Amino acid sequence: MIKRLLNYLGYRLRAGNGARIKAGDIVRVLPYDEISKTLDGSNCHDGLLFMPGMVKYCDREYKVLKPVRWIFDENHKEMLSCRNIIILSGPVCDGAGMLDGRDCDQCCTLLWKTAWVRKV
Amino acid sequence: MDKAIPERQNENEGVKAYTCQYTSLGRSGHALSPMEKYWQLALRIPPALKRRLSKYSKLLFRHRMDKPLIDTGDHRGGEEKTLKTELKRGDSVRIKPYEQIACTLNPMGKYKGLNFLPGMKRYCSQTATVLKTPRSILDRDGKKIRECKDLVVLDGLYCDGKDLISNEGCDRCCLYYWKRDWLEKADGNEKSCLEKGFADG
Repeated sequence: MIKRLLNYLGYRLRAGNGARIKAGDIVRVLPYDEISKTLDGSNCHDGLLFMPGMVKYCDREYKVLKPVRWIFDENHKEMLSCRNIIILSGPVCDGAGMLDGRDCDQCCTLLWKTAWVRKV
Repeated sequence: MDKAIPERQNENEGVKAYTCQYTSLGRSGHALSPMEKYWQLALRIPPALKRRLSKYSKLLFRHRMDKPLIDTGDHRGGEEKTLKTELKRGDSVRIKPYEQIACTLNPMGKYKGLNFLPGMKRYCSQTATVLKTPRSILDRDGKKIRECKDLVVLDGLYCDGKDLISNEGCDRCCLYYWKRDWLEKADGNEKSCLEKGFADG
Protein backbone atom coordinates (compact mmCIF):
# COMPACT_ATOMS: atom_id res chain seq x y z
CA MET A 1 0.00 0.00 0.00
CA ILE A 2 2.75 2.42 0.97
CA LYS A 3 4.59 1.72 -2.28
CA ARG A 4 1.49 2.59 -4.29
CA LEU A 5 1.15 5.76 -2.29
CA LEU A 6 4.81 6.69 -2.84
CA ASN A 7 4.42 6.05 -6.56
CA TYR A 8 1.32 8.18 -6.59
CA LEU A 9 3.19 11.00 -4.93
CA GLY A 10 5.78 10.89 -7.68
CA TYR A 11 8.44 9.25 -5.56
CA ARG A 12 9.76 7.40 -8.59
CA LEU A 13 13.14 6.59 -9.91
CA ARG A 14 14.57 7.83 -13.14
CA ALA A 15 17.32 6.14 -15.13
CA GLY A 16 20.24 7.96 -16.72
CA ASN A 17 18.19 8.49 -19.88
CA GLY A 18 15.26 9.91 -17.91
CA ALA A 19 12.99 6.86 -18.22
CA ARG A 20 11.10 5.65 -15.19
CA ILE A 21 12.44 2.50 -13.56
CA LYS A 22 10.45 -0.07 -11.65
CA ALA A 23 10.94 -3.67 -10.61
CA GLY A 24 10.96 -6.02 -13.58
CA ASP A 25 12.25 -3.48 -16.10
CA ILE A 26 15.21 -4.39 -18.27
CA VAL A 27 18.10 -1.95 -18.01
CA ARG A 28 21.52 -1.78 -19.56
CA VAL A 29 24.44 -0.87 -17.32
CA LEU A 30 26.49 1.88 -18.91
CA PRO A 31 30.05 1.15 -20.08
CA TYR A 32 32.65 1.74 -17.40
CA ASP A 33 34.04 4.76 -19.26
CA GLU A 34 30.71 6.53 -18.92
CA ILE A 35 30.20 5.49 -15.30
CA SER A 36 33.67 6.69 -14.34
CA LYS A 37 32.69 10.22 -15.45
CA THR A 38 30.00 10.26 -12.75
CA LEU A 39 32.41 9.24 -9.97
CA ASP A 40 34.23 11.59 -7.63
CA GLY A 41 37.77 11.19 -6.31
CA SER A 42 36.75 8.41 -3.93
CA ASN A 43 34.91 6.40 -6.62
CA CYS A 44 31.52 7.43 -5.29
CA HIS A 45 28.46 8.87 -6.93
CA ASP A 46 26.17 10.63 -4.49
CA GLY A 47 27.90 8.72 -1.69
CA LEU A 48 27.50 5.28 -3.26
CA LEU A 49 30.76 3.46 -3.85
CA PHE A 50 31.44 1.92 -7.24
CA MET A 51 33.22 -1.30 -6.32
CA PRO A 52 36.01 -2.76 -8.49
CA GLY A 53 34.03 -5.98 -8.92
CA MET A 54 31.20 -4.07 -10.60
CA VAL A 55 33.26 -3.39 -13.73
CA LYS A 56 32.58 -6.84 -15.14
CA TYR A 57 28.83 -6.17 -15.09
CA CYS A 58 29.14 -2.99 -17.16
CA ASP A 59 27.69 -2.77 -20.65
CA ARG A 60 25.26 -5.64 -20.04
CA GLU A 61 21.52 -5.96 -19.64
CA TYR A 62 19.80 -7.01 -16.42
CA LYS A 63 16.35 -7.09 -14.92
CA VAL A 64 15.63 -4.67 -12.09
CA LEU A 65 14.98 -6.71 -8.97
CA LYS A 66 13.92 -3.87 -6.71
CA PRO A 67 14.22 -0.11 -6.35
CA VAL A 68 15.75 0.59 -2.95
CA ARG A 69 13.88 3.06 -0.80
CA TRP A 70 14.58 1.91 2.72
CA ILE A 71 17.61 -0.03 3.74
CA PHE A 72 18.84 -1.12 7.15
CA ASP A 73 22.35 0.09 7.97
CA GLU A 74 23.65 -2.64 10.26
CA ASN A 75 26.80 -0.67 10.96
CA HIS A 76 24.90 2.17 12.62
CA LYS A 77 21.80 0.09 13.45
CA GLU A 78 19.35 2.42 11.79
CA MET A 79 17.00 2.49 8.85
CA LEU A 80 18.06 4.77 6.02
CA SER A 81 16.15 6.29 3.19
CA CYS A 82 17.74 5.92 -0.25
CA ARG A 83 17.16 7.76 -3.48
CA ASN A 84 17.92 6.65 -7.03
CA ILE A 85 19.35 3.29 -6.05
CA ILE A 86 18.30 -0.02 -7.60
CA ILE A 87 19.24 -3.66 -7.21
CA LEU A 88 19.68 -5.71 -10.37
CA SER A 89 18.85 -9.37 -10.61
CA GLY A 90 22.03 -11.33 -11.12
CA PRO A 91 25.02 -9.14 -10.24
CA VAL A 92 26.41 -10.24 -6.90
CA CYS A 93 29.58 -9.01 -5.21
CA ASP A 94 32.27 -11.67 -5.54
CA GLY A 95 34.38 -10.01 -2.84
CA ALA A 96 37.55 -10.97 -4.68
CA GLY A 97 40.66 -9.94 -2.76
CA MET A 98 38.70 -7.70 -0.42
CA LEU A 99 40.08 -9.04 2.84
CA ASP A 100 43.81 -8.56 2.43
CA GLY A 101 43.98 -10.87 -0.53
CA ARG A 102 41.30 -13.21 0.79
CA ASP A 103 37.84 -13.27 -0.74
CA CYS A 104 34.74 -12.10 1.08
CA ASP A 105 32.12 -14.80 0.50
CA GLN A 106 29.15 -12.82 1.73
CA CYS A 107 27.57 -12.62 -1.76
CA CYS A 108 25.93 -9.23 -1.22
CA THR A 109 23.73 -7.90 -3.97
CA LEU A 110 25.26 -4.83 -5.58
CA LEU A 111 23.66 -1.42 -5.38
CA TRP A 112 23.46 0.62 -8.57
CA LYS A 113 22.74 4.29 -9.00
CA THR A 114 20.08 4.95 -11.60
CA ALA A 115 22.58 7.25 -13.31
CA TRP A 116 24.67 4.17 -14.06
CA VAL A 117 21.96 2.39 -16.05
CA ARG A 118 19.82 3.06 -19.09
CA LYS A 119 16.37 1.62 -19.61
CA VAL A 120 16.16 -0.62 -22.64
CA MET B 1 40.41 -2.18 -16.03
CA ASP B 2 40.03 -3.36 -12.45
CA LYS B 3 43.32 -1.75 -11.53
CA ALA B 4 41.97 1.66 -12.52
CA ILE B 5 39.92 1.73 -9.33
CA PRO B 6 41.97 1.93 -6.16
CA GLU B 7 40.88 -0.30 -3.30
CA ARG B 8 39.82 1.91 -0.43
CA GLN B 9 40.74 0.91 3.07
CA ASN B 10 40.75 3.11 6.12
CA GLU B 11 42.84 2.97 9.25
CA ASN B 12 40.85 4.15 12.25
CA GLU B 13 42.22 3.87 15.75
CA GLY B 14 44.52 1.07 14.74
CA VAL B 15 41.69 -1.14 13.50
CA LYS B 16 41.65 -1.77 9.80
CA ALA B 17 38.27 -1.18 8.18
CA TYR B 18 37.48 -2.81 4.87
CA THR B 19 35.30 -0.65 2.70
CA CYS B 20 32.46 -1.88 0.56
CA GLN B 21 29.05 -0.54 -0.42
CA TYR B 22 27.36 -1.84 2.71
CA THR B 23 29.97 -0.74 5.25
CA SER B 24 29.78 2.79 3.81
CA LEU B 25 26.02 2.80 3.48
CA GLY B 26 25.67 5.85 5.72
CA ARG B 27 27.13 8.06 2.98
CA SER B 28 24.67 7.04 0.28
CA GLY B 29 21.56 6.89 2.46
CA HIS B 30 19.78 9.62 4.34
CA ALA B 31 18.06 9.70 7.69
CA LEU B 32 14.36 9.00 7.46
CA SER B 33 12.10 12.00 7.18
CA PRO B 34 9.56 12.48 10.00
CA MET B 35 6.81 11.21 7.68
CA GLU B 36 8.78 8.07 6.86
CA LYS B 37 9.49 7.51 10.55
CA TYR B 38 5.76 7.60 11.26
CA TRP B 39 5.17 5.14 8.43
CA GLN B 40 7.85 2.82 9.81
CA LEU B 41 6.33 3.04 13.25
CA ALA B 42 2.86 2.36 11.94
CA LEU B 43 4.09 -0.62 9.96
CA ARG B 44 5.83 -2.10 12.97
CA ILE B 45 2.72 -2.19 15.13
CA PRO B 46 0.88 -5.15 13.47
CA PRO B 47 3.92 -7.50 13.42
CA ALA B 48 4.77 -6.48 16.99
CA LEU B 49 1.26 -7.33 18.11
CA LYS B 50 1.43 -10.59 16.21
CA ARG B 51 4.72 -11.48 17.92
CA ARG B 52 3.31 -10.78 21.35
CA LEU B 53 0.13 -12.69 20.67
CA SER B 54 2.09 -15.67 19.38
CA LYS B 55 4.20 -15.54 22.55
CA TYR B 56 1.09 -15.85 24.71
CA SER B 57 -0.40 -18.52 22.49
CA LYS B 58 2.86 -20.46 22.88
CA LEU B 59 2.47 -20.27 26.66
CA LEU B 60 -1.14 -21.38 26.50
CA PHE B 61 -0.65 -24.17 23.98
CA ARG B 62 2.91 -25.10 24.79
CA HIS B 63 2.51 -28.82 24.25
CA ARG B 64 1.11 -28.24 20.78
CA MET B 65 3.54 -25.52 19.71
CA ASP B 66 6.64 -27.30 20.96
CA LYS B 67 5.90 -30.54 19.24
CA PRO B 68 7.84 -29.96 16.02
CA LEU B 69 10.73 -28.39 17.96
CA ILE B 70 11.05 -31.26 20.44
CA ASP B 71 11.12 -33.77 17.61
CA THR B 72 14.85 -34.08 17.09
CA GLY B 73 14.60 -36.90 14.62
CA ASP B 74 17.75 -37.01 12.60
CA HIS B 75 16.79 -36.27 9.04
CA ARG B 76 20.39 -36.14 7.96
CA GLY B 77 21.10 -39.31 6.09
CA GLY B 78 24.44 -40.60 4.90
CA GLU B 79 23.94 -38.84 1.60
CA GLU B 80 24.41 -35.39 3.13
CA LYS B 81 27.67 -36.37 4.77
CA THR B 82 29.14 -37.00 1.38
CA LEU B 83 27.37 -33.91 0.03
CA LYS B 84 29.45 -31.70 2.35
CA THR B 85 32.59 -32.46 0.44
CA GLU B 86 31.03 -32.49 -2.98
CA LEU B 87 28.96 -29.32 -2.96
CA LYS B 88 30.33 -26.66 -5.26
CA ARG B 89 29.22 -23.81 -7.45
CA GLY B 90 26.72 -24.83 -10.10
CA ASP B 91 25.48 -27.94 -8.29
CA SER B 92 21.77 -28.50 -8.28
CA VAL B 93 20.27 -28.97 -4.80
CA ARG B 94 16.80 -29.46 -3.45
CA ILE B 95 15.75 -27.63 -0.31
CA LYS B 96 14.17 -30.01 2.17
CA PRO B 97 10.49 -29.66 3.05
CA TYR B 98 9.77 -27.18 5.81
CA GLU B 99 8.66 -29.91 8.22
CA GLN B 100 12.11 -31.51 8.06
CA ILE B 101 13.91 -28.19 8.44
CA ALA B 102 11.69 -27.19 11.37
CA CYS B 103 12.85 -30.28 13.24
CA THR B 104 16.43 -29.04 13.15
CA LEU B 105 15.59 -25.61 14.59
CA ASN B 106 15.90 -24.70 18.23
CA PRO B 107 13.17 -22.67 20.02
CA MET B 108 14.88 -19.50 18.78
CA GLY B 109 14.38 -20.63 15.20
CA LYS B 110 18.10 -21.25 14.67
CA TYR B 111 20.18 -24.18 13.58
CA LYS B 112 23.87 -24.06 14.52
CA GLY B 113 23.60 -20.29 14.93
CA LEU B 114 21.89 -19.63 11.60
CA ASN B 115 18.39 -18.21 11.58
CA PHE B 116 15.73 -19.75 9.42
CA LEU B 117 13.86 -16.65 8.33
CA PRO B 118 10.14 -16.66 7.56
CA GLY B 119 10.76 -15.71 3.94
CA MET B 120 12.81 -18.86 3.39
CA LYS B 121 9.77 -21.05 3.85
CA ARG B 122 8.42 -20.33 0.37
CA TYR B 123 11.54 -21.87 -1.18
CA CYS B 124 11.24 -25.15 0.71
CA SER B 125 10.91 -28.29 -1.45
CA GLN B 126 12.22 -26.29 -4.41
CA THR B 127 15.32 -26.92 -6.47
CA ALA B 128 18.07 -24.32 -6.82
CA THR B 129 21.64 -23.93 -7.97
CA VAL B 130 24.59 -23.37 -5.65
CA LEU B 131 26.16 -19.95 -6.11
CA LYS B 132 28.82 -20.14 -3.42
CA THR B 133 29.81 -21.98 -0.26
CA PRO B 134 31.02 -19.12 1.98
CA ARG B 135 34.17 -19.65 4.02
CA SER B 136 34.94 -16.14 5.30
CA ILE B 137 32.64 -13.15 5.37
CA LEU B 138 33.13 -9.53 6.32
CA ASP B 139 31.11 -8.36 9.28
CA ARG B 140 28.76 -5.48 8.58
CA ASP B 141 30.91 -3.02 10.52
CA GLY B 142 33.73 -3.81 8.12
CA LYS B 143 36.24 -4.61 10.85
CA LYS B 144 35.81 -8.30 11.60
CA ILE B 145 36.26 -11.26 9.34
CA ARG B 146 34.09 -14.18 10.34
CA GLU B 147 34.89 -17.75 9.46
CA CYS B 148 31.90 -19.88 8.62
CA LYS B 149 31.28 -23.44 7.55
CA ASP B 150 28.44 -25.58 6.25
CA LEU B 151 26.83 -22.54 4.63
CA VAL B 152 25.51 -22.40 1.11
CA VAL B 153 24.28 -19.47 -0.95
CA LEU B 154 21.76 -20.42 -3.60
CA ASP B 155 21.41 -18.51 -6.83
CA GLY B 156 18.41 -16.22 -7.14
CA LEU B 157 16.87 -16.88 -3.71
CA TYR B 158 16.63 -13.32 -2.40
CA CYS B 159 15.25 -12.07 0.88
CA ASP B 160 12.17 -9.93 0.33
CA GLY B 161 12.59 -8.26 3.72
CA LYS B 162 8.85 -8.25 4.30
CA ASP B 163 8.67 -10.11 7.58
CA LEU B 164 11.81 -8.67 9.09
CA ILE B 165 11.63 -5.10 10.28
CA SER B 166 8.17 -4.21 9.20
CA ASN B 167 5.75 -5.12 6.47
CA GLU B 168 7.51 -2.98 3.88
CA GLY B 169 10.89 -3.41 5.56
CA CYS B 170 14.35 -3.68 4.14
CA ASP B 171 14.94 -3.42 0.38
CA ARG B 172 18.45 -4.82 0.51
CA CYS B 173 17.57 -8.09 -1.27
CA CYS B 174 20.25 -10.18 0.41
CA LEU B 175 20.69 -13.73 -0.77
CA TYR B 176 19.65 -16.22 1.89
CA TYR B 177 22.19 -18.41 3.64
CA TRP B 178 21.29 -22.07 3.89
CA LYS B 179 22.78 -24.76 6.10
CA ARG B 180 23.96 -27.76 4.18
CA ASP B 181 21.83 -30.01 6.36
CA TRP B 182 18.77 -28.26 4.95
CA LEU B 183 19.70 -29.27 1.42
CA GLU B 184 19.94 -32.48 -0.49
CA LYS B 185 21.47 -33.11 -3.83
CA ALA B 186 19.08 -33.01 -6.76
CA ASP B 187 19.18 -34.55 -10.18
CA GLY B 188 20.50 -32.20 -12.81
CA ASN B 189 17.32 -32.77 -14.81
CA GLU B 190 15.05 -30.97 -12.35
CA LYS B 191 14.19 -27.39 -13.11
CA SER B 192 15.48 -24.85 -10.58
CA CYS B 193 13.40 -22.07 -9.01
CA LEU B 194 14.89 -19.58 -11.48
CA GLU B 195 13.91 -21.65 -14.50
CA LYS B 196 10.41 -22.12 -13.15
CA GLY B 197 10.15 -18.39 -12.56
CA PHE B 198 9.40 -19.06 -8.91
CA ALA B 199 12.33 -17.14 -7.46
CA ASP B 200 12.54 -13.37 -7.44
CA GLY B 201 15.33 -13.38 -10.00
